[in-house]
Order: sequence, then structure tokens, then C-alpha cells
Amino acid sequence: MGEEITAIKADRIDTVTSGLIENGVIVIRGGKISAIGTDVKIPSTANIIDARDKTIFPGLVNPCSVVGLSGSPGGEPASNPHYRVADELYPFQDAYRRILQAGFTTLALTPGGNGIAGQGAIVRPIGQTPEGMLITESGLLMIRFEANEKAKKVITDAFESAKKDSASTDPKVKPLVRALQGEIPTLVRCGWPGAALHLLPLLKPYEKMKWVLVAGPENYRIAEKLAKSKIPVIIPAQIDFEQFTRNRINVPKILAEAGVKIACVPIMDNAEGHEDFLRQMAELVKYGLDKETAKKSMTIHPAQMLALDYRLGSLEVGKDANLLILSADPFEVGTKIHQVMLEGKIVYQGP
Amino acid sequence: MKSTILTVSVVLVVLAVGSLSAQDNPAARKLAIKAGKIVTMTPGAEFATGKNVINDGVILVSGGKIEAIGPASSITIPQGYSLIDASDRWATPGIVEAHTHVGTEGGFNDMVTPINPELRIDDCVNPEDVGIKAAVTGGVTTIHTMPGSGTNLAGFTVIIKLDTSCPEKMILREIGAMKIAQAYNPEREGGDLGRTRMGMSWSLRQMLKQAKAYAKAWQEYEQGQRKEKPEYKPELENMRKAFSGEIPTIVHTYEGWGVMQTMRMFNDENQLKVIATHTEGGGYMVGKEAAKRDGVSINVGPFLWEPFFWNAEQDNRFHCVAAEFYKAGVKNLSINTDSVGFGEQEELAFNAAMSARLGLDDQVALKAITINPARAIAIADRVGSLEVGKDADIVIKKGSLLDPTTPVDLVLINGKIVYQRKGSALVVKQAAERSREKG
Amino acid sequence: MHKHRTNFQFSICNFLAVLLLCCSASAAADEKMTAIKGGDLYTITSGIIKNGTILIKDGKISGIGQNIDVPKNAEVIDAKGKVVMPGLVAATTWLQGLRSSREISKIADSLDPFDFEVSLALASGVTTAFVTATSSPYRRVQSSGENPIGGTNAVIKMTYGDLDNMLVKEPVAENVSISNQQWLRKTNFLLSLRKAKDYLQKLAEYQKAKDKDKKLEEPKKPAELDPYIRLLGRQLPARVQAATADDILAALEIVDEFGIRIILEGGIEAWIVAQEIARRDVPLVITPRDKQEPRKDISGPSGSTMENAAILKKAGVRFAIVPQGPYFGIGGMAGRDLMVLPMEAAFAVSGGLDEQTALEAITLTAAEILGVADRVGSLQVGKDADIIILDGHPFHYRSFVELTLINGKMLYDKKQSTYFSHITHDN
Repeated sequence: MGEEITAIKADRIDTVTSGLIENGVIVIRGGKISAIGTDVKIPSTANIIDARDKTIFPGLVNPCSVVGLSGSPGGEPASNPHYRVADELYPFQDAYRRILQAGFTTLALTPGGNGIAGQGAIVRPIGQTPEGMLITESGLLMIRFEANEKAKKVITDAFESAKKDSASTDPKVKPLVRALQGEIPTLVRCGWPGAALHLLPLLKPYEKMKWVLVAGPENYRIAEKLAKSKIPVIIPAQIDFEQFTRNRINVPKILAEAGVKIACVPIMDNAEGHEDFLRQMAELVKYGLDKETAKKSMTIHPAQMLALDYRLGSLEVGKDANLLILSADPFEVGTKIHQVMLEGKIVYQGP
Repeated sequence: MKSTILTVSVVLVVLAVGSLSAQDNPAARKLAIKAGKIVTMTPGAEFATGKNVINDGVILVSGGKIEAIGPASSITIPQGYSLIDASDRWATPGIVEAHTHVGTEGGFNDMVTPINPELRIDDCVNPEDVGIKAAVTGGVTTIHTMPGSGTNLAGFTVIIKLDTSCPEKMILREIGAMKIAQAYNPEREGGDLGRTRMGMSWSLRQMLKQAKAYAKAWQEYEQGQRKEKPEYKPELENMRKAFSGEIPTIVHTYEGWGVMQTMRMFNDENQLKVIATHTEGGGYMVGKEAAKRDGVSINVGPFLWEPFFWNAEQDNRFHCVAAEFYKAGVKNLSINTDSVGFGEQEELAFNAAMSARLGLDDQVALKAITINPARAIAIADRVGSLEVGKDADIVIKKGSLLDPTTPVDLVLINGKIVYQRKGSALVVKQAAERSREKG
Repeated sequence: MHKHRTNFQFSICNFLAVLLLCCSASAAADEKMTAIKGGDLYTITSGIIKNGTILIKDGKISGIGQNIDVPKNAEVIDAKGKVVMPGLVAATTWLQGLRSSREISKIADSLDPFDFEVSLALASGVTTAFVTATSSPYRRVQSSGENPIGGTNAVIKMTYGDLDNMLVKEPVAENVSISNQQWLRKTNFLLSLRKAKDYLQKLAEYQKAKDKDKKLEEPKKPAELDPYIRLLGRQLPARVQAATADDILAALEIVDEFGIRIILEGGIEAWIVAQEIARRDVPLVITPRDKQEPRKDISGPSGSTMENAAILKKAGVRFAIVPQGPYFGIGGMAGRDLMVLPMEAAFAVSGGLDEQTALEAITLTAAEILGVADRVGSLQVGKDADIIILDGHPFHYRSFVELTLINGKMLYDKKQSTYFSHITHDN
């Protein structure tokens, strides 16, 4: 038995999916959670982490980010399904270090470009090599949508031709086929609710596809429509202003209460934004977002949207030991991240 | 036979010449106007009590002034008076514009230094300006035309009447007001010193301090309280008029803090009569402060409601600037067009109508384009209301000035018809004709 | 529900069942009706019906009159003392935000029903509008270089939040930018029209002769001539800007030579050549308050006049009216944009135009010019229930829209909206 065994003893273990365990223990073997509960036997060879006055929380998952990438080329909508973010990863960026220390153990990096932008990579924000960062190389298909004839045509043309060519190994076709068959999720960035109204009917015929909408805050206007479509939504953790007023609206709250499955991302997609994320979420909770929904929207929901919930997003037996050791409840003012554990290893030791 | 024809023609010629010369000589110009409704805009008289409105009234005009005004039953139209029968129309005072740039030539922003007390725009009045002719068709009879807002102290304005038949007599007052600008525009490129508002305020205060001392010294000297004759500084002479109370100061200013600063600097610190003009961007938030100060008047426009992206209250509502000031208690309220060129000045009444639409009381809106601007620019002894002794600047129109569905039919300035709309079907019965009818 | 009976009764019961199902089905489909009662109905086509009632069913006007029966379960809107009119039609707009993206080849693919201009339009009573792919004709002109024709346009309804019912028709005209000043563009326009005419002539000859002579080749259609062929076929009118009398006459010459349909935009000096315009039955979109100085280099009449509309009417010319700013402004200028469209028509009245024609210019005639008069522009049975209820005559400067319905659905209520609910004119 060469594998490393760690046991964490903590006052509060927030599993997110199965509630709060008080005075519990997590046992980690080979980077995965092997046991979790109140009367768990700690193996004799285990390294013990004494987190008695601390809170354990799953590592945060950001399902759509461009941090550390070369930037969006903009331009006319085009179909570039063969483009891969995995080919441009550079692990030694300060931004990744900061994001990891801010509590994020999983990051879905997405390509820029309008139309079918390409394949995103799902990474751990740490690694000695680009490959070392990768959790999945081609974990998702990214589309950026604007409401115009050309953009619509790019999408329908691409998927209709991929439908007819499902055995293709062509790197320009295969990712589309995988997306069509629901093997990988397809994220569609669509900022405005008006554009989303153009988008939703476009997506309807492709029922097998695992659509995820990356939406701007204004989309609260179509909360009901989004709920009805059953498409999950990635939304900035933002309390927005109603247009031309100082009336503040808690957009994630409105969406969640309408029945939309939400994942929250930092308001600004940069290192500062990630460092500020828990405070942004705490503010959403303070102004009415259901606490449990808030927790899920930064852990299990994004994991589900990335089709990686079998290994990420909550503290459950069998899942990766990605977790945060916090000084208190994540939404309390002044809560500090003491340690970040990634696949069983402490990768960050805070103050 | 020949001699009779000769006599008759001579007599006719004499009569014709006689009547012509009688018309040209303002002292002899005698005119009576019968109007279905006369709205006098008398200060202090309110519409509700009927004191401002005369139904079936008559105005007598003589020598360019209003000689008599009252119900038709109380005024007999004397012989020798021409008659305009406007019994199916209203008569109102000529409209007064307190903030415009129409009527001058050669530019109105001299932007080398930020403070220019020696400049005066009366040197550049252009009676041929097409904007003037158009303005009269909208019932505008007196305008306060100004240098622009590119500098903090642009110079001095001019007040002109829009009777271009006699250009030399157009100027009502050569030095109208002191023109100041305190926000946004002067931050463009108005000289080197004082590009920030701090710097601007300092520059203005220095100038005011200097001018105030100068004015005081001369006043004391002229009143015998001071023996030594003060140094004569021509560039400060016009500012003396502001400090003596002879002319007001008009200040282009925006936003709540801006209007407050204007009132503080000019009214509170320097006891100057000040017109705060524009005032959008939340100026009405200090309306109560403006209402408290008798020396402050508010001139709203050309933006009549608070832009959504600049609204102090940010509540997705159309806030009528004039109505908000009025609600806060400001009585010295007028409306402008801030016109340039062609096509805007004649719509001053429509601007008032739009303010009325958005919540300003109708009578206040009408006063805001007649007696109130006249008072603000200190010409109310001459124009702004139909009262005995004032200039006969009269507008005849079917219905209210605020009604966009009827055109202005006739405009008199100083008792002279300067505009008569083709198709107005208003007949001017000459005195001779009238006496022939009677006799 | 009827159960199956035995065979010999089957057919009868089937019939009865079907009959009953039909009745109950139609009763179920009998969407709740709406009735607007008690107002003065400005029908536009049949005068004013005082104290009238409008019935609305399935988004259309199903009844209109003074004494018509209102179904018991109908939703009633009390319009007592109010003016009831068809929703206003803006024959030209520069609406910027209705498009959700930069490059527009088809407006239908880019409409944004959540744009704030849509809610401002509802508050102003404008329910139908003409939009182009670029925001203003000037930008259209700049961007097209030497090409005189191009870009799409559409008629839309202000259905806030509802994309499906927003588009009425696309395109409704060919955008053309030519004038005597832009001679290169005009030259290209005429050249292309002639080329297209030649081609169509050759094509017609070919069609006639091809059965006899099998060796004949079909004439090849020259590239980029489709819009011109459409114009020659009179499928769509060309929207041409022409302000001066000479530009207008030049445009009329094109009508004479090629027989195309045109709509003239601008028409400041149209009053000078009103008879010429009338002879070709060319409609105009005008702005009564547009001002132009009389030109010193012209010996005849020139410049603008407030009597433009009245003179045109007298000559028999049809026109729609739009304001100087054909958009919904949030910048603070009052009275010069679509927020008060009726005011522009009111100014035409001050220039001598009769009230009825002035009202038509912002409703029915505008709809006719846009080619959508079968659906909107008047209160008539069968037309869309696009209705506005005002608290006074539309040409009174204080009148506000209180309710706006599109396709029978209430989309604006002044009391519920923040825009004007604080303005009550109680003074």
C-alpha cells in the first residue's frame, strides 16, 4: 500500500450535496475521498490534519473563464471547432496561483472568437506542464452567439453537416459530433436577453446536446423562459442595477427562484475577480439568494454543467479530494482560506 | 376739369403722404386691437382670479407704447386710430428669450483666456441674421443674445428687439448681462489657467473680488464718500454695472452642486443678481435653496427634462426641470431655447408647451416666456406684459401661445407690425378708412 | 365525454360526439374577449364614434360601433372620456438599439424586444415602425460608397419582451441613396436600372422566340442586378431621399423613365413641385418643422414652409409625417422626437393642414406607405388590435397615452409605468 492516506478531522464538513457533518472525518486515499462521516475509522498510517475549529468546503469550480489565455480575437462569426485551448496553456501564470489560493480547484478555460469558437479545456489551476494542468483536454465546445443571420447560419450549418457525418475523424467535425451526441457539454455565451430569444429556438432541435447558457445579468428578464427551457445558466455573481435606475436586482436570486439551475462566476474574469468571489457570493446571499443554492452554484452545479460531477463539486465518497479548509462558513465576513487541497495534496497553506 | 383733377390728385397725394408720414412717425402711430382674449401676464396677477385675462378686450397703442388696455366695454376707440379686429383671437405680450446666441455674427466664443471682462457682443449684432426673421414668426420679440460658454467669463451680452426695419434702434440695452460659464463647456480649452473647476472658481473669484472693489471705489467716489478718484480701468467698467445692480449676471451651470456653487459665489458672496441657466443634471435638487434667494432666478433649457443617464434621482422617470424647480418654490422661473442659427428660436413657445406637458402649470409656462425672463434680464419696465406704459410688443394668435396647432398671425414690436402671416385674414383698417366708414 | 355506443348507433353518436366536441372545442378556443367601452373612437376611416365600443378577439378587432353587445365574460376596459385611436405608425425611424448585433443582413434575426426604445415607444403610443439595418440614412449613405442601393429594412411592432410577434414584414422597400450632389451614385443607379431593363427586354424576347429557335441561348443575368429587377417589377418601392425641388424632380424623372415605385423621404421643398409629385402618385415622408433657408441662387421659390403639408394635400399628394428626431430620446430634449409624434402633425395643422389628414399621416397613410395597411393604421374590424387610449386629443400638447395594446394585449399602462405616472395634470 504505497498510496498516501490523509485524514481530516473537522468541526464542520459542508458536503454541499448531503448537508453538514459536524465533528466529522474525511479519509482520503490516492487523491480521492474514501470515507466521510462522524464515525469513520481513521487508518493508522494516515496523515492527520487537525481542522477542529475549521469548516471544510468543496473546492470551487469555475465553469467558464478565459484567465491566462491570449484573448478574444473578435470578428465575424466563424466555425472553428478544431481550435483547442489546451494547445495554448501556460501553467506558470501568477493569475492561476492566485485563483488557486482563492479557493478554485477547477477551471474551465474557454476559447475566444465569435461563432463556434472551439474546444475548451477543464484544468486544475496548477501544474508543472500544460498537460499536468489538464483534467480533460477537450472538455467542452464553446460558442459565442450574437443575434444576426450569419451567426445563426454558422451554428445550424455546422451542426447539420456534422449530423450527416457522424463517423468523421476530421478534427473540424469530430468535436461537433461529440457535442451533438452529448458526449461533451456545449457552452453558448449570449449576453442579452433579446439575443437569447433568438438563440433558444435554434437550440431546440438538438435535444441530445448538453447546452449551457453563459448569460449576462440582463437575462433576468427572461427568467421564466430560461427555466422552461431547462437549460442551465452560468451567471456573474452580480447584483445589477435596473436600467436607468438605482434599483438593485439580485439577478442570480431571480433566476434561481424562477427554477433555473445556476452556476455563479466572478463578476470580473481575472485574478482579482476570483479573489473577491466569496465576498460577491456572500453579498448575493445577504440580499436574498438562498444559501444552499449559493453554495451549489459554486460547486456541484458548475461540475454538473461540465459533466464532471462524477468526480468534482461536492464532498462525497469516490470524488476527488478537492477541498478548502476555511476558518468559518464561506459566506461569513472575514472567513479565511487556511488551506487548499487538490486531489489529496495541500497545494496552498494560508495564514 | 383739369384743375379739378389736379386738385383732387394733389389732395389725394397729400393725404397719402400725410398718412404715410403719420405711419412712419412712431409718435403718431396710433393703433387699436380688438382681441377675443387678452392675456396680460401682469406680474402678481394670477390667471385663476381672472386678473390676468381680459375677455373681449381692447388694446390702444400710441407712440410705440400701450396707451390703454381693458374690456371693450370700457374703452372707446378714438378717431385717428387704425383698427385690427382680432376678435376671434388672443393677444399676448411678445415672447422674451433670455438665453440665445441668435442675431450675432463672427462667432461667440473667444477662447484665448478664460476671463474676458472687456468683451461685449453688442459689437457683433447682425440684423440680417435669418434666425431673427424666423424668430418673429414664432412670436418672439425680444432676445437676450450672448457669447458662448467656452470660457468662464465670456464677456457681456446684448438685449435686442427683433424689429429689423430700423437696425439702429434694435438694441434695447447694449450691455445686457455679465455672462459666466461654470461647468463642462469651459473645461474644453478655455485658456491655460484654471482648466479644473478649482482653478476656474479661483479665477472667477479673483475677478469678482477685483471688480467688486473697483465698483465700490467708484460708487464711493461718485457719492462723495471718497475724495481720491479711483484709477479708471476700462476693462472693469461693465462689471461695475453688475455690481451696481443695473444688470444681472447669467451663469451657465449644471447639476445640484453646480447650481449651489453658482448661487453661493455670485449671490451670497457678491450680492449679484444671478440667473442660473441650463441647470440640468440635478440642479433642481437645490431648488429650495434657489427659492430662498430673491436675487436668484432660474432659466431652464434647452434640455427640458432630466436625461435618463444624468438624472440625479435615477428613477426611470421623466422629470420636468422647470416643474421641479417650481415645486421647490422657485417663482423666478423662465425657459429658453439656447438657439444657434436657424430653426430653433421661433419654437420658444413650444418649449414652454413641452414643459407644461411634462408637469409645469400652464400659466407658469406662459409667464416663463414673457414676464419672468423680462424680469430676470431687468427689462420688465419695458416688455414682458401688456400694461399701460410698456412697449407695444404684441402677438396675435388663434388660441394660446402653447397650442402647436395654430400659427402666430401678427406680431407688433413697439407698436409696429413686423410680421403678418400670409393667409391670417387679419385686416388692418387704416384710420382714414375707419373715419370714412363712420362718416 | 361520450362513450362508444353499439355499432348501429355509432355513426349517429359519432356525429353528435364530433358536433359536441366541436362546440366545446370552439368554446375552449373562444379566447376571452376584450371590450374597450365609452371612449371617443377615432377610427380614421369612418370618422369619430362618440361613446363607442371596440371588441377584440384573438388579437384582432372583431367589432366596433356605438351600440354593440359585449359578451358577459369579456374583459372590459373603461375608456369613458378618453380618446381611442389606432396605434401610431412611424414611417421612418433611426432606432439604434433594436438590433442585437453589429452586422445586420436580416433584421428579423437581430431584433431585440427588450430594448428600452421599445418601452418608450409604447409609452408614446407608437406601435408600428419602419427600421433599417443601419441607424440612420446618413450612415447608410456613408457606408455604401458608390453603391446606391442596399441594406435591408423592415416594419416592426413594439411588442416588448415578445420576439415572435415583433416582425411584421421584411423588407418593405429598397434603400436607395442618390441625389444630384452624389452624382457617381446616381450615375450607377441609372446605369444599373438601364442594364436591368435591357436584360429584362432581352429575356422577354428570348421567352417569346425560344420555342421556335431551340438554338437560342438564354441571356445571362448580369451580376448584382437583383434589386433593380425587383424595382422594375414594381415589387417594392425605392425609398429615396430628396429634399430640394431639383432632387425631387430628378427622382420623378426616374419614375417616368423606368416606371418604378418610389417613396420620397424629406421633401422639404415638395410644396414647390406638388403637382408634379401628384401626377406620379408618389408618396412622401415629411417633417413639417424641417427648416431650410430660401436659396439665394434660385430665382423661383425655395426653402421650407410650414404650409408644405397643406399644399401637398391640396395637390392630392399622400404623405406620412415623422419628427426631426425619428427615435425615442432619453437625452432631455423635448418635443422633437418620436416621444411626441402627434406634435409634429400638429405643426402641420398650424400650417393649414386639416386635422383628418394630419391624423392619417401618423396612422393609416403611414401604414399604406409601409405596405402594412391591411393590418394596422385604423380602427376597423379585421385589423390588428393595436390600440392606444389617450387622456385628450392627440394634438393637444398635454395629452398622454394611458394604455397601449398590441395584438389585443396590453403592453403599457401609464399608471403602472415609472415614465409618466407622476404627471397627472391635476393643476
